[in-house]
Amino acid sequence: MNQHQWGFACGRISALEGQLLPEDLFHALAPLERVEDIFNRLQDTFLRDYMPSGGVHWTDWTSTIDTYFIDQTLSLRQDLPIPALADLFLLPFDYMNLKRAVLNRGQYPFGANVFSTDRLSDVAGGDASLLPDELRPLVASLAAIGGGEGESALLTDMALDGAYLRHVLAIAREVDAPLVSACLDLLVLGRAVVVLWRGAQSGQSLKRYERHFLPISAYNGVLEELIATSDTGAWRPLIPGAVGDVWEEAQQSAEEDQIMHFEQLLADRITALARQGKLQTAGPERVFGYLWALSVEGYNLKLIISGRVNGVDPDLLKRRLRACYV
Amino acid sequence: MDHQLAIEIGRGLAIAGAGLAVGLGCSGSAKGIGIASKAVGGVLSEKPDLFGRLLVLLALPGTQGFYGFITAILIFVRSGLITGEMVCTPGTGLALFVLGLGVGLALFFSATWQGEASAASIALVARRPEAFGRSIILPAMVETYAVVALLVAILAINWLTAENAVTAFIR
Repeated sequence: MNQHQWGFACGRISALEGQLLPEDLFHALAPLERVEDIFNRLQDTFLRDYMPSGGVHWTDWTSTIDTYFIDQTLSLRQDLPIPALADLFLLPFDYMNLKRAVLNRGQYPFGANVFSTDRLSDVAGGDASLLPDELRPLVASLAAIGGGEGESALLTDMALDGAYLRHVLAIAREVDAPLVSACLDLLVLGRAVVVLWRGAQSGQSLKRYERHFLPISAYNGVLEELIATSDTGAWRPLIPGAVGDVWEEAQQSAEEDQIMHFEQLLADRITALARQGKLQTAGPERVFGYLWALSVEGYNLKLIISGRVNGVDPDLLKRRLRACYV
Repeated sequence: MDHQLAIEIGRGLAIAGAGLAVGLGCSGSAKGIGIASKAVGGVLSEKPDLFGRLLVLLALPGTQGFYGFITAILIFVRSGLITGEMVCTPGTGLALFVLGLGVGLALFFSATWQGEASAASIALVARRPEAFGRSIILPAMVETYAVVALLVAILAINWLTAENAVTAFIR
């Protein structure tokens, strides 16, 4: 695709990048004692437009940050030659909605973006015909899952986690940009490893993941080997490339921090890779980099605010901050 | 070769050269401005107050079209098309044709790349408006080569069509 078709969107991004919060600000927010102080500091940022007058209770912060993120992504989506690139960042919300629809829990609080509310209502009513081709058989099979509510939710989680990662890879193929593909490869394999690790830690039989979570395209072989090796301590030689290196590095942390550290290191790797897109005048890499930066910014803000509300040590919060794009 | 036919051939080649110079120059400028204008449009949708500064960067790739125009007019004047005294030999006509083609290509590519450089500068100004002065230097560096092409065109057209260069043939 002609890079110049991305010119308008990338021009917008050049202006919007100036609104991204720098790492220094997060480090300055971490030691603040009261949420009101954080609120006052953020009045000088883009978030002030999203705060209702009179202040925001700490419980509203997550939805405020999510609303800002979704608004920005949807606004940029309109200007993209390949709108699916923005969908990449909206999919986590949509899959949470889809899970609620499959489990017939009514209301979709995460903002219907890729799957409209009508489609979700149809799914809740047992009709998945309007979903994308790759999701239809999956949703139909989920409807047939028996067992109690807990079991059903667990298997639905497994199946939708797998579907989400396949969806991400399908978008990577559609965008067809090497830098974006490299970032998404890290993301997909990393998330798949985390899903299996969490399953293993919660005492689940990983064999069930083979049936409900797989296939994940090129990583199927690797993930099958991980599933066959229930001891997560022996996974390092099985995980290839940069994700394997990150896994090994995370293993140096205290046992209870390992998976959080792994996710943090993985996100930092992707950020470092995405920064290379800043060198381009126009192209999908610029858009991916900005939207990734926005998602990291949202994560860091939530981390700081929830951490301070729960009295987490500021130094620990600073260590857990993900690397910023700017 | 018949004298009249030779003049016709020379004239045809010279005019074709002029057409290539102006055609390629204007096409390149249009493409370069098109590239830069997409970036400007995106930035202005977020920061409309930058219009004045971005307009300068947007206009820079437009100069190549004028350089092509100047080259074409010079060929028309110096080869006698405007005055009605066509004095082009086939050799001069061929030289003007190749000159027009070469200058046109230089203008086309420099305008296209200047559009890219302008888009990069526009991104810089969007992030750091105070860097506007430095940002102009980037596309201006590309302009250098369009100016060199124009200077060569002016000198070559003057030398090729100088009176002593064609009088022998006319006699």
